[in-house]
Amino acid sequence: MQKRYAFGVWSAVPIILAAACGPAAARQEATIPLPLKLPRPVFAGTPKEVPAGTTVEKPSGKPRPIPQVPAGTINLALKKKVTASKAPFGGSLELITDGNKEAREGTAVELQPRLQWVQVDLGASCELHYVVFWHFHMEPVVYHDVIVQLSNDPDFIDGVTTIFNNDQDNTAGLGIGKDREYFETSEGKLVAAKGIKARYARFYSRGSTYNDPLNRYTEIEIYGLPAR
Amino acid sequence: MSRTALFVVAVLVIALGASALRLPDLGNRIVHADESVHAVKLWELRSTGRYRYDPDEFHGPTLYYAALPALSAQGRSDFGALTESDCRLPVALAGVGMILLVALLAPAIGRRAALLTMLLLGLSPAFVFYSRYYIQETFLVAFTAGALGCFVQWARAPRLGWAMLGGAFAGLMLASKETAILSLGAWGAAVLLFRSPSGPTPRRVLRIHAGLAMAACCLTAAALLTGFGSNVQAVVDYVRSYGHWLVRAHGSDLHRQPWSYYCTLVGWRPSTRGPVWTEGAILLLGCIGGIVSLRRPREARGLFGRRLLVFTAIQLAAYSVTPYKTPWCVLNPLLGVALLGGLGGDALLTMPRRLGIRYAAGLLMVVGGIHLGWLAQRTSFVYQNDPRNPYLHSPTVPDALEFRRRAMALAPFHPDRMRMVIKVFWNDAYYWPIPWYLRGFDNVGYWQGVPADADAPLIFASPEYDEELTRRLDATHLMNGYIGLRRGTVAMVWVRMDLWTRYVESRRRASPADGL
Repeated sequence: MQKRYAFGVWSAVPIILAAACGPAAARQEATIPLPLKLPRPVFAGTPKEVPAGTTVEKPSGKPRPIPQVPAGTINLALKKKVTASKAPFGGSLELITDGNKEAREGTAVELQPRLQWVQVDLGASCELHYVVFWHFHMEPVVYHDVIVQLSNDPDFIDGVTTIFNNDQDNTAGLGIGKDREYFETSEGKLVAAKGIKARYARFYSRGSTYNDPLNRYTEIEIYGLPAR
Repeated sequence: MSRTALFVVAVLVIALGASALRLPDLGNRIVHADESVHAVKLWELRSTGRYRYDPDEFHGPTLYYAALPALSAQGRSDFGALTESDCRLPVALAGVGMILLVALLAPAIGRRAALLTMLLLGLSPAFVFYSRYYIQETFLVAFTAGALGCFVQWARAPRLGWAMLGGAFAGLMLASKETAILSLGAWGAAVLLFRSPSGPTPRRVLRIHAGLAMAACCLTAAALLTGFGSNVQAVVDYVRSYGHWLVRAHGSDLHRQPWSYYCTLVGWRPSTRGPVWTEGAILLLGCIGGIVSLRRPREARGLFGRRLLVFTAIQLAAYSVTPYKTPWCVLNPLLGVALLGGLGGDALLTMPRRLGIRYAAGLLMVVGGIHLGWLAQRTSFVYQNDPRNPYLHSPTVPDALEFRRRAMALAPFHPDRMRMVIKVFWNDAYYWPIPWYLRGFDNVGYWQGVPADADAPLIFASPEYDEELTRRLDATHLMNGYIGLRRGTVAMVWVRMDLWTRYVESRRRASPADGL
């Protein structure tokens, strides 16, 4: 009996270890490359000279590495409802989540000058991993005061997490941002959301180095796991 | 009014007109890297009272000594208070002085030709532009005019005073810039090629005058180069410097230009949606003056004209065959062209038998003069910072003013204020004129590369160090943007986060965020 008992205890060890490690190993295996399909580039390279007055980061000159995300990650923003700080100047807000991110006439919505935002309602609080957005990639312009916030509060008063902020002088009043400005390209701007659970995503900007003061959005994609 | 009085009045009127183009708004052009180096050297002299000649860089000290009286008169005791106008004023005065010195040449070329030369120099876009530029060239050319004037005066009446004054001017030329040797050599060759007929002056007197003129030249140059005796080694260094300059004459990528550079610079330089830069009126009259000088008898003006022709041709050839070229060097041959132009203009007004032709020539010269004056005004007051201006050489971009604005804006929020540490990390030695824009800050350090201790409240760095600084400073600093230095050259600004936060908060208190 004693011997059988002893065997029974030791035989449980691998079962316990497997129970402890199994889910983690399974989680590691269950990742996929971010299912992001880039639009076609309409210009080659980036300007040699950086625009004065920007903090633009030097382009690497190589394609951006594709991050891994949990299996089941999809673009939650597709066809979702978009609101904005003011009615669009040109185009409609649906363009932002219509899935068309090509740099062509009529694919971008134009918002008024100065600080403006657009907000995507995912319909439910979801685990978010990456946010990708394209303001306007017909030319390598640089957008100013780009801020991305996530929240479950549609008014962005409570529980707000800022995942990107390059408003260094805090002119938007949302805090000093340490992120760098960047050239708009067909790759869009990829920002890690680090698994934050949120229903709303808000995107601020204050014009660009383009030849007019408007704010533009071609597409926003928010990658995460759908709410269960 | 006697003819002499009329001549004097005309000279003064031309000098007054030349001043109107040279003296106003001297700070209207962004400081060039070379100007900033000289401003720092000037302030070393002003603050320590000592000058030390550097055989590898910077040329001679006349530029610095000439600026001292104005600084003393204005009571400038702080480098931070030094202005562009403080530095450029002596150059502008030298530009006017050069025109006055041409009056000394009247016995050789005639008063009318001298006045015409003064007009050409007074209105020349290149001469006006570089009379507002804190570099040695205008001094060199002004002293050349002085030396030629003294030579002419001495040739007319061989007095020891003119010989020694001419020697002193030659010394000032040498103490201004090493290339003075080209001007002196060209004039020496011209005099040897076209010798004066023997005069009544005994050879012994001539030898004494020549010896004393040489002594005046050497003493003047040595006094200035040695900082009035404080660094005797400078004399040896000066001679040695020619070895260095000969090597440098081969030119770097930045300075290497084709042989035709100087001819096209003043001949014909069209620009996109801007004026065509040309000193055509001076060149045309200069060509006529050259032809007339060759056709005239050797006596009187023919001799001096031929010498001028050789003097100009040698200088133009020497500067053109040298691969290392900077646009301001064109002033040296252009002085000779303008003097020949005076002779040419004089010939056009006097030689044609028909009065109508003379009037037509006079009218054309008036039109040419108006064009020169118009272009000089555009060059120095409209296109003075515009890269289309061909007289700008590797110009500093207007954005560079931001170096000072940014540092001055942040300093009040740092406990050390103007003693706040500022570090500059550059990938080569060409970070100038950053030191000019950071003048008045007491703790500024410059490194070629990023040092082990890179931390500082404010950092300006080459973009080449972006990755390294991001790695080392991202936790504590903010990459605060780029500031343009020259075309294609920018600096990154890194600000320590605590300093930036204090600055932004104070700005927000002053003007709340213009959010939604």
